[in-house]
Amino acid sequence: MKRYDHIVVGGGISGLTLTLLLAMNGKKVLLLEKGSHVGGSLTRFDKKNIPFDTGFHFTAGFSKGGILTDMLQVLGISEQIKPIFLSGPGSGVFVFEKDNLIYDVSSGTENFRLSLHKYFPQETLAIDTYIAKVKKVWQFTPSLDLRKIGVSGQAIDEDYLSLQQVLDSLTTNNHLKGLLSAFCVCYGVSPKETSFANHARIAGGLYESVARLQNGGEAFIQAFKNRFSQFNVEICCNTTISDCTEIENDCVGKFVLTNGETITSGDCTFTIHPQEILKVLPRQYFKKAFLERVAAFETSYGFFCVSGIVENVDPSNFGPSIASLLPSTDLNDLLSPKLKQETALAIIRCVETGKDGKKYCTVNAFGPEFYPHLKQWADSTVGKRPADYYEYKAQRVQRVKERFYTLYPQYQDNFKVLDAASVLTFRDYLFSPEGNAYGIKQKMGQFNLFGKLPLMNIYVAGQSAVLPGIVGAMVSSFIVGRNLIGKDTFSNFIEGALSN
Amino acid sequence: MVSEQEVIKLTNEVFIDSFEIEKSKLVPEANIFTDLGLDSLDVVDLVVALQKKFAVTIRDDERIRTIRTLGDLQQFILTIKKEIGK
Repeated sequence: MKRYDHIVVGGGISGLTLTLLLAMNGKKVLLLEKGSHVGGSLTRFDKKNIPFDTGFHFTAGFSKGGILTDMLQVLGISEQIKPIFLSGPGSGVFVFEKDNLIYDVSSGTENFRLSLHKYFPQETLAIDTYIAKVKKVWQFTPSLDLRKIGVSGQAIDEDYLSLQQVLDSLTTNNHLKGLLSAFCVCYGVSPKETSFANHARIAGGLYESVARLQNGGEAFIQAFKNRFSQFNVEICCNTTISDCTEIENDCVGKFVLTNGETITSGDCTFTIHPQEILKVLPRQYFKKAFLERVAAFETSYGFFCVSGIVENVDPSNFGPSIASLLPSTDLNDLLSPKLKQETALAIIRCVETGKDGKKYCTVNAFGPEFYPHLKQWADSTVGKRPADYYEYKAQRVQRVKERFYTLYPQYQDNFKVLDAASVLTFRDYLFSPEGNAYGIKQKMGQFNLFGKLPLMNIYVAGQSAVLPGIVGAMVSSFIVGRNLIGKDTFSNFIEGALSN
Repeated sequence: MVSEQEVIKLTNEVFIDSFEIEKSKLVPEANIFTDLGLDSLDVVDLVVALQKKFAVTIRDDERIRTIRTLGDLQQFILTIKKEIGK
């Protein structure tokens, strides 16, 4: 029987990160992935030999001394991952469609603050107070500094105030409130549901910098694969754990895999959706209170995505840019599954190199989509969906095009849609429950599943553990890695890598 | 305003329903860890269950760390309920 020091379940960014951290620290690791390849939503796909992003479009954290920069350095993959910063006029635009108001805000927290001053001269005090509060949250969040990772931070008032409460205390201007809460779309929780602190941790990073990557999420996947081969990491795709047996003293002795193999391992970390984790662990080892807590987690929404190209335009003048289209100023309405009106829509313009070596002006447009709205087609699978599903998709694509042309009328005659995907597509290709984009919704007052479970050699990390998105998912793996490797060894490891 | 009796009753319900602890063990002097058998990992689930039962937010602060007995916990809930009622 094969024996490992550690099993990591889930080959998304969190699983990749933890696997590499452990392997670099001398552990014999097996990485299991349910799908046919590792990478999860970092994976890109080709249409007409042009690469398009699946689920990873941009990130924060790449500024100098940023948490992502530091994590990549520790993992030894900085060289292969090259950020393309979105900066300059037109690169970050917010549009309130109903009022036809366009806000072109600059990147960098200070520039963002000054842009808002320009648009809202009566609201400078509210804007400055908001930015100061965001900065305060960062100051009190030690895990956003890799050297302090795992040090528990003290709870602050902003952990117990919703974003909505803070905004309401600052201003009555709905456009300003809409702008300051617009990044809720990037983590899937509405202003009334999220704590101000969590909002600040994510939005604060995005105010500081927004970057795309050269070769998108594939850059990460390739970089990790290269490193894995150096450390003899074993990867097993199309496989996950089906059962845990020989449990003694609350420790799992053997892991049964879906490929029929049984293996032993010192520990195991799950980086997948919390409710999926409980499906493979024997229930009798968990108290009812624990099971109730996990059952109460709500899965976040996913996205309806349209990918296309604009032909016959100058690539040197085509992004990279993100435009956020908001049909109303109230993000609570826009992010509610009860939404009847149009959803928010992000439009990303960027130039990609096709397999033929030519430059293509690509467009990725995506808006929240709620799984319950597609319930009638939930039983169908890729390629075998009923006709009315395709009608629904065609209608949504049409509306995306109309909204795209309203913002960029110059592309009206030369935009070509090459593909569209719904949450069902994401569910079936990425094995993400309900096609979710951000794991579980991380609501105020909620306690996520994170770290050690009541079964003592089972751990949990992933984007549902600390914060959603690539940075949060990686941070969760660094924290779990610290527990598994040992505080002092880990701290020396981090210090050594960062001082190089 | 919720009465002390009500707080005791609802707190005990959490231990009976969500932690499957016998009613007879639920005396005010019972130590949550040594007598009722919860461990450090259960504390989070206890907090979540109490938040739901009493519709309150329980902050991670010094007060909660000093709680040892069921009686301490009931007094703590009463205090935060009073704070909200103000």
